[in-house]
Amino acid sequence: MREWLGLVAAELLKVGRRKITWVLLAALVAANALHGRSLRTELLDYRQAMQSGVGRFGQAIAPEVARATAADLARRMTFPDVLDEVWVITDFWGVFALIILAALQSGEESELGTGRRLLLRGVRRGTWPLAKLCALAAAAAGFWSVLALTILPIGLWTEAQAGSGGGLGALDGHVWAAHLGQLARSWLATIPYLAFSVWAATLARGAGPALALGLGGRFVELGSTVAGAVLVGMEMMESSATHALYAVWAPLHALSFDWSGKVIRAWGNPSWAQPLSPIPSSPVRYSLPWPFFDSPLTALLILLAWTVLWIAWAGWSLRRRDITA
Amino acid sequence: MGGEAVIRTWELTKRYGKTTAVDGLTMEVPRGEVFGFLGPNGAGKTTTIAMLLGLVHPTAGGAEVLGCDIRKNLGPALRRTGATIESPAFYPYLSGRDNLRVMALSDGGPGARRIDQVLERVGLTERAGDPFKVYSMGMKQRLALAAALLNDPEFLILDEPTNGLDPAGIQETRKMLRQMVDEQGKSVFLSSHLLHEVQQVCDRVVIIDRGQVIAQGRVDELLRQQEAIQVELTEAEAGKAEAILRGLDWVQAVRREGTRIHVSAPAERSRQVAEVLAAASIYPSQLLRVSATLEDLFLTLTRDNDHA
Repeated sequence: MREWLGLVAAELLKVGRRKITWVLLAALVAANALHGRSLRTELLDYRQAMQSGVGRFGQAIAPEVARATAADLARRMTFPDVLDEVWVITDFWGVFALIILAALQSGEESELGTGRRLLLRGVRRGTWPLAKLCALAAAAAGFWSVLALTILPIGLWTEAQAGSGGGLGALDGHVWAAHLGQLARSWLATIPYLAFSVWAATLARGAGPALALGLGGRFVELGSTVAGAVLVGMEMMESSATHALYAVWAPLHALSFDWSGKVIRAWGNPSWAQPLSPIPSSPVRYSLPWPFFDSPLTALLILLAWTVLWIAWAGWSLRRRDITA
Repeated sequence: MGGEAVIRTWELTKRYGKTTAVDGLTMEVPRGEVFGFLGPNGAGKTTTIAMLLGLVHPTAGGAEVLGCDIRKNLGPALRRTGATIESPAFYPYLSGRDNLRVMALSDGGPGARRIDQVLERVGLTERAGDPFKVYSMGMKQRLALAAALLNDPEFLILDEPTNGLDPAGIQETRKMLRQMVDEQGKSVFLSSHLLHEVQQVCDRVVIIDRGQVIAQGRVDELLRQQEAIQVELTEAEAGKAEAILRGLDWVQAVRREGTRIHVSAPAERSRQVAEVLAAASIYPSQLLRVSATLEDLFLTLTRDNDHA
């Protein structure tokens, strides 16, 4: 236990000393702030259209649509909704940032030869990937926490641009609890990505391949979600034209980190179903076609299974290997 | 050899496909000595060390380090051992001190005070706060040595620890190793190409080539075996003298190079050589005792092995 805790502490020391850690964190805060700014631009656009019926790019917008959209935007820019609004950006880009950090942190041991030095100190090969994952998970918790805190001033700034809202006073205990829950769920959903990065770096013996696999895999997942929105729609309309494609895609996507992660984040209210709704942010929700599920428990079990698989595989391959360079 | 051994290997073998890197290596490294591990490039030294440290799995045979089997239970031995292997590997974005902190945290061991002590011991205190990436080769080697000393090990396995060190650094390292063995009772297993250094610091050596032991023993005994007497004669006397010297039972070998005869025999026999030749009315113009160096021994043995 002492060895394991020591390894985790050593990893955290390294994470803290890396420039890239702070660069990625700053980039995420900047992305959140930029999102607040872009909402303002959109709001001004629709407010203008409320009077003129013409948007910023000369496009025609019916005044009633402009009014509804501007009201919706103003709501999203004020507390408490602004928290969720900005968090979406954190959630999306944060996964990329943590994949990059995990790949660099795990891959360097092979590239620099420092892994050999750790093993010379009697560190057990099997516990090494697990200790790395725990350290990365702890670092991720720190990452999300900092982002969750910086969302508050960014939210205030965004709200000020909307010209209305009650500031932090609009946040009651329930909202704070929900915000903390969001933070915890986002963190949980990140862990399989970290485990995957540790696995990729261990097997590929370097950060480069781990980065390519991690980021590439994430892009494939996102691409799959876009394709899936079409396929699910067709499936719900009982179209036979795409059924064969759906039959292949659906089980794979239902088992992906992405799907389980979304179920965890939305806690039983899968957000990906919303694009199928004709009105943005509509509460309308379709029942999910098989094999999709919306049970957080199932999602947790799947994410846990993935995490265990990657780490056990990394530990197994490390135990069998000659560490020659 | 007797006594307790810090390393014991038996038929230790490592094959990579059809290439045999270490071939049935059997040796014993006694406690409380500096033990030199020598061999030409590609002889299998680093592979052997990597097997002893659990980095590389042996194909056959076995070994014990501090009484622990390298296949089954090496962990306790590694925690009592300090080691450097090949080039110094550290995190470039961390300072020398932080690199040692990472090492110390990883084995849940020594704290800041011990880190300061080892930094001072290797002469790196002033530059300890600089990032590792700006260190010279010599400073990197010093840091590697500091890392090996961090947990105050009873046994050190050092692979080329003086690579890149300046002469003062080499001398300091030599003194430090001797001091650790003589005053603190530690044991050192030292692989190096600097044969002059090895000769000065080591009590015993083993020389390997192509993965096999070709010589092992106490340095002074091995060097005695290489001692020779060089005799300078006239052309006319040389042939006769060669025949006489070949007939002596304590002479291991006689080699003639023109008017010079090289007699492989203990140097203290030089007087007897002079007497034997004088008895045959042969009076050398020069008679020299030739002391062997570890370098001579090494080159002779590895060259012989090449020709074998």
